[in-house]
Amino acid sequence: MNIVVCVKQVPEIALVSVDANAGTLSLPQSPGMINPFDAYAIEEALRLKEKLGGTVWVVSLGGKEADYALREGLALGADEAVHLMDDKFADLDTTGAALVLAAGIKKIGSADLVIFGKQAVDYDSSSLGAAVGGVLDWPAVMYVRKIESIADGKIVVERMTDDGFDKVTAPTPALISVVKEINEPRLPSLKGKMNAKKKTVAVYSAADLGVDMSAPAMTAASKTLKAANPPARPKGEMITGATPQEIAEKLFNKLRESQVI
Amino acid sequence: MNLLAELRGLVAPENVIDNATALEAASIDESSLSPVMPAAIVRAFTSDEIQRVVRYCHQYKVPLTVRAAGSALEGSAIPCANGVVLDVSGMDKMIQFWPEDLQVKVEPGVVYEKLNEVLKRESLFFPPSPGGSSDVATIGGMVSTNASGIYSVKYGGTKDFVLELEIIDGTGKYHRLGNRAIKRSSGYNLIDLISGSEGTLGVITSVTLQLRGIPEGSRKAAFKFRSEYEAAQAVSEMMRYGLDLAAVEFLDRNVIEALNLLNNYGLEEVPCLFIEAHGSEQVLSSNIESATQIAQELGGEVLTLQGGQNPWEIRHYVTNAIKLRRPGYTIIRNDAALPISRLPEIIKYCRELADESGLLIHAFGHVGMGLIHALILARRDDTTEWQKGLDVNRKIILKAVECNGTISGEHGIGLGHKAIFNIEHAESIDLMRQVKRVFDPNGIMNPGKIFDQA
Repeated sequence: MNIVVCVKQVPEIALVSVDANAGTLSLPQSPGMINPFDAYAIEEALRLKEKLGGTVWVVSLGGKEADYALREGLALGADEAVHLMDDKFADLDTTGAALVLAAGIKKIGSADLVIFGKQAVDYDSSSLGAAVGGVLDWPAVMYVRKIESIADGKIVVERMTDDGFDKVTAPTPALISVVKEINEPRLPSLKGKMNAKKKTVAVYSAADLGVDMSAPAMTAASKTLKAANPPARPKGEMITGATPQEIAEKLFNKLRESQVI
Repeated sequence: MNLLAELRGLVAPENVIDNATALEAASIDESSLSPVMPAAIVRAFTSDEIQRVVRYCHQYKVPLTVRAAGSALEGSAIPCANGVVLDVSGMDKMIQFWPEDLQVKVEPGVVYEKLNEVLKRESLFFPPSPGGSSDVATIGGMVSTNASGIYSVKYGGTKDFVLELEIIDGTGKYHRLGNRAIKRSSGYNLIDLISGSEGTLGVITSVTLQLRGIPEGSRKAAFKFRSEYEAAQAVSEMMRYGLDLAAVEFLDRNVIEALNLLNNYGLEEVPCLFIEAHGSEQVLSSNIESATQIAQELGGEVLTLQGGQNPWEIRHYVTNAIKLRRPGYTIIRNDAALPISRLPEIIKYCRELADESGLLIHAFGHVGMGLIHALILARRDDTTEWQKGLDVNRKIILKAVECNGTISGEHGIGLGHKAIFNIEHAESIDLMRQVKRVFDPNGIMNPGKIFDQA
């Protein structure tokens, strides 16, 4: 079983703020972290490998900082890492990124399964996995909460829905995105980290991948005009009173007046 | 003297809180003991503020109880009547991190789980996970009760990780205890004195911890037994042969019954052991294999859940399952610890007491370090039954002490076990009182906890 896991290095979300005057995001100086949802994707790949054998690749499209996410994947137990890095990749939106990632996956060659985390916590678009599936022309099943089986050229999964789940069967090679209900990711051990440091990460440029950067899809069609915080909520009313009973009573009356209860 | 006005002169006035709701919330902890209303809560954010408040309390002999999460289980966070609660939960910063030394210095209000969340990025962790309260329990609170958890079998309790402490004693004086050297033969070990002192000697203002690397791998297994006695014997054997296990947890048949009622697991209602090993593949397989062999020799069988789930997940629901089992009933708890070879004896004793009293007793615990919780369910409003529950509780604890064990393996003494403290420490309680006097001559630091200052 050969599995490719697509990972992304994201800024430490807790430290990102909105610069209201400039209308942009202020990103922290720290190197960031691996997208938390990708940890579930890596874990699932490692579990499949432990059960069925094979190779796990971690692939990341991004600047220098993506090396952190790839090393994390290696520390957790992935066998190989591929970094898709080129100055020309700086201004891609989902379509362009999907073309580059699909080219990377094709270059690796023998993948039976590609796994994404359900979304990246920086832009939350949750669309890249499906787009890569589209470019590869592979079945893409999003929001998978359980892989029931993968054998004989097909994969059977449970796809989470608002009300429960769908059981989906798809021929392989296939692409899935996973939700956090699927597993509990292992933690990177010190030994794993030590091993990851020594490993070589393959770096592929646009030329290595043979992608045509002059194609219209390689220019971002969408543009961020302004970043702003949502308008502040109107100030709440503080209910005061001499005793907790009195406060509770006032709250109760208010809730009843407004027909909440 | 106007306490509130004077306190408001020592820290930002808005950090002195006296509204009834807040005072009521601070009047209890997670024990089933009665609330005690304090006069005020002071929220401290710096060591200087703590020092000013303690000096004031020392001067005017105002009792002072340090508090953060309030998740203590034996009343050590319950304040004194009309005393001051010093809330340090706002002191929640990591002061310094030395990943290359596997060390970190934190303020006392840092929450256990949040700390590990940060440490994880360097593949490090602080092992003594305080069970069900790891998402609220703070490092300061863990030091003050010398807390532990399921992994303490392999890694030890909180005090085994403390390298340096900064404290303010009961007179308001600052002390730095220890340093960052891992091994020391240099003077009295005052850190161990503060660990487990439940806020009776001073206020912890910073903690420097030695950390551990996240292990290469972990493996879990579970076994079911015909009797509690055989399960306890298996534990005794596993430890006796020096198996390298990170966690060894025991659940008696009543606990399994409670879990089935809570979540319909459909488990056979027999006593169980849950074990976990940490390390390289070789360590994992050899230790799990040996543990399985021991379990089987004592009639144990490998336990699996319907649907192949990992049975370990049920371990997390134990306390809730017991709590929710009989509405209207309250848990009377204990956390005695004793030499591992005596475990079979105390577990048998718990069952005898249950039969004799007609009370429902659930026994479980981190048996790999000889720690057993026997949770008794009784109705507080039924005076006879409640008293019976308290009597049974006392008998279990005294049995542990009689087996050369201790009243408390991890929760502390607080108010809950104070009455029997002198039975365990008859020959050292006077020395403890003298020590307290040195740190706290006016007896203001969490007075009346652990023992009374005669």
